[in-house]
Amino acid sequence: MTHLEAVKAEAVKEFHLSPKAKEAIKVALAYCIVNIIALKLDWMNPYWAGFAVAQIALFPGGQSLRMGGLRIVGVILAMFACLLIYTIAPQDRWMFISLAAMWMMFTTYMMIKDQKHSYLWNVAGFAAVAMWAIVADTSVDVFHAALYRAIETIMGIVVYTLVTVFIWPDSNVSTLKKLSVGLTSAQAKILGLVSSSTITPEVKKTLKATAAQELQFLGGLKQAFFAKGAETYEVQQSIGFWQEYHSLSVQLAQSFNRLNNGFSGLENIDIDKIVPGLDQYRQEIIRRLESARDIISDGAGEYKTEFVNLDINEAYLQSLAPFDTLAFTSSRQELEKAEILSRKILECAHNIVDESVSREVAAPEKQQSIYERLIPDLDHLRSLGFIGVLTFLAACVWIFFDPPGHRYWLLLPPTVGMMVAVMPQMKTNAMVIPAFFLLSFFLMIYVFVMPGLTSIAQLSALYFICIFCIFYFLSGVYQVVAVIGVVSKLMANNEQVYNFAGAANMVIWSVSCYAFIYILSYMLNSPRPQRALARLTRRYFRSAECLMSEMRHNEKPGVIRKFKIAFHRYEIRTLPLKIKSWSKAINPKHFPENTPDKIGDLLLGIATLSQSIEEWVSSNTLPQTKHLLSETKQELSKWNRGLERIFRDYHNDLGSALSSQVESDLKNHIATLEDVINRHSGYIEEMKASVSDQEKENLFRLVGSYHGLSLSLISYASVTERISWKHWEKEVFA
Amino acid sequence: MSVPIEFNIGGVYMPPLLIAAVLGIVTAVVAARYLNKYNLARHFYYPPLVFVALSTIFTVIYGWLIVPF
Repeated sequence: MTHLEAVKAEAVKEFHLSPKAKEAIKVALAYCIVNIIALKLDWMNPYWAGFAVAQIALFPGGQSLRMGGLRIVGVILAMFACLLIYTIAPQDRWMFISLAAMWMMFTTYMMIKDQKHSYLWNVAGFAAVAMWAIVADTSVDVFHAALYRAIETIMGIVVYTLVTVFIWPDSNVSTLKKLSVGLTSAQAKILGLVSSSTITPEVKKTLKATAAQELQFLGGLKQAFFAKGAETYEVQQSIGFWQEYHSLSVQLAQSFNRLNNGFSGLENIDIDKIVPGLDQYRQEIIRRLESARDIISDGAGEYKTEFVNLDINEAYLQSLAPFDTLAFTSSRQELEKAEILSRKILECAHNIVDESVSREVAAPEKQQSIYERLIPDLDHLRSLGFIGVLTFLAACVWIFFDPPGHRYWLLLPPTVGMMVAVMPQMKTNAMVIPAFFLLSFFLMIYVFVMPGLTSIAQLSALYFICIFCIFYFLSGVYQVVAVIGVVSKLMANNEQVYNFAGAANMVIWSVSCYAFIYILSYMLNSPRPQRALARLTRRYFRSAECLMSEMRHNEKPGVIRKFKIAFHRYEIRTLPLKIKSWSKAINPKHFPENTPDKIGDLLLGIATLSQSIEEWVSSNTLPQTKHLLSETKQELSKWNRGLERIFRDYHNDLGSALSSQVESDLKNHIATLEDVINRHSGYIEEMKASVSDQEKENLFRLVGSYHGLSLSLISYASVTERISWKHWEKEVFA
Repeated sequence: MSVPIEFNIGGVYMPPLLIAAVLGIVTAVVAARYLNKYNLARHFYYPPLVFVALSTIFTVIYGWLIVPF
């Protein structure tokens, strides 16, 4: 073998198709197969099957037999809904449209809420509108058309599912492993840094960066449960343990956050003197975390837990000032919690890789109160309003104006609208221009290439090339528009008639539909992502301000106040992710002053702030000792008011420069509190017998949460000062 | 007065309005890019509507000067 041949052989051996190429081949193959089957069997409108494949491929939530089954259930639901609505309102168009809009609202709501079955509800929605858009004069025609549509959609789903399951099956187990390994490594590093005896500015900087990584890994891991490939057998087998792993890691992150707040109050004392064996204690926890990481990574970690005890030098502890004693009590509890959690994490990692251990039920979720369960998500409500109005108005456009596309106005806007309702960041304005050019391109193929095709093989080759190119080269809205172009322009029947005027009218129809959806998408939020981001950030600070105000009242909260608190807590918890989604849609070329790095820091600042607010709320609800000094209460109340004022300032002006003010306020509050507690040391000594360790911990946890929240606010303030909010208000052509 | 003439492309007769509209939209896209590049878009209250207006204006200009429809 010559050198050249050897190089060629090596290149062939090394050649691997990228995941994107594999995905594109799978979709193209499924699209060709369903068209061949439908044409061969001479079914009514054979392109319906291709439409189902393309629609599912655009929303690749799950590619397993189980998910394929769920989608089939969705089609059957859609068929029943379609026939039921036709039965209830065959001659009453307003009733018909209202019921159709209601069905779309229901399926969209379920699609958002029930993430596990969102594919089912997506199919139940789009297949129903597809059946309503059929041409039928009698009830028999309606039944036949609905049945054919259902059969062809089911055939599309079955073929697509079989192709994706048997050819290069996807599994995201490697993503789960990668994220878990990264998360556990970050947490091991955080513990080392938090309890470090010397906290230098360098250590603080590394700690901040590692905490940022930890947050990203936690978010990524949660999303990975719903990502493509998560429903494969390999992942589903141990999904309960994966979820438990995530839940334990969240608890450990919260514990580290509190530990960090507590340790910052111990800066003036020698921690190694109070806990002589702290280093071994810390090393054991770190070792367990590293073992868990290795077990998940390659199954090679050591599954062994040694009991470690936190020995305290009680004599030294008694000699400390009361404020320092309180601070240590809180940190001690957190160190003990970290030890328990690290043991559970190691055990959980072992269970994930051990196939002999199985768990049918997922890790139990935190119990929510009735208030938390009943509060509405404003954005979900908007999405429901949007899809209902869109469906209703699209039908009105057809009835009153009858523009090009005619009855298909009932088909495209609700189908695309469902995607926009779930993902409001989808830039529908960006669809109008690509739609015009891409649809015109497919119109040219329809006019010039398709009439020259003489066999099913040639037609299949054309379909394969088109679909492959779309899924390989295009993404985002371009992909959506191009797929709609193929399914609506390159339609094939056994008796094919080419009609340029009809096809050209369909281009006008598609472009008009996107413009129509764009106008109505203002109901959700501004379709300009930078505006939406600013609006959501203002909403975030409004909720933070209200939460501060509501929590300050001493009296027991009534039903309305409980709802208010639950609502604002929900907003604080969920808005960071929504803001992140919108930030991804901002085009940095249009706003060069706000670089992606600056935006990343801003998002991290908001996420950290949310975590601190959550900890602050939890600490506020803990039972406190009756012997709490009134001066302490007053100081905390003053601190609360100060924080509320800062949140109000940010709500009114996102660009407020407040970092130095927050920093000086924080120092003042800490110094005053320390002074208050130390001044009353005699009183505290007297009360020692009646104040339990738990109450001491709760008190310092409360002080620590104020401290932590102020630190997060300083961090956010320094980041937001680097963002040019005015720059985002500038108008540009998107 | 100019008489509307259909465009024969590969044996398919295209209406002149379609050709004028394609040219109008392409020109509007180019104009929008330049307005963004030279930071002039900030003077408009609502760019999406301005884009629709530009497309219409350019289509009419093309219809008036080059492709009567």
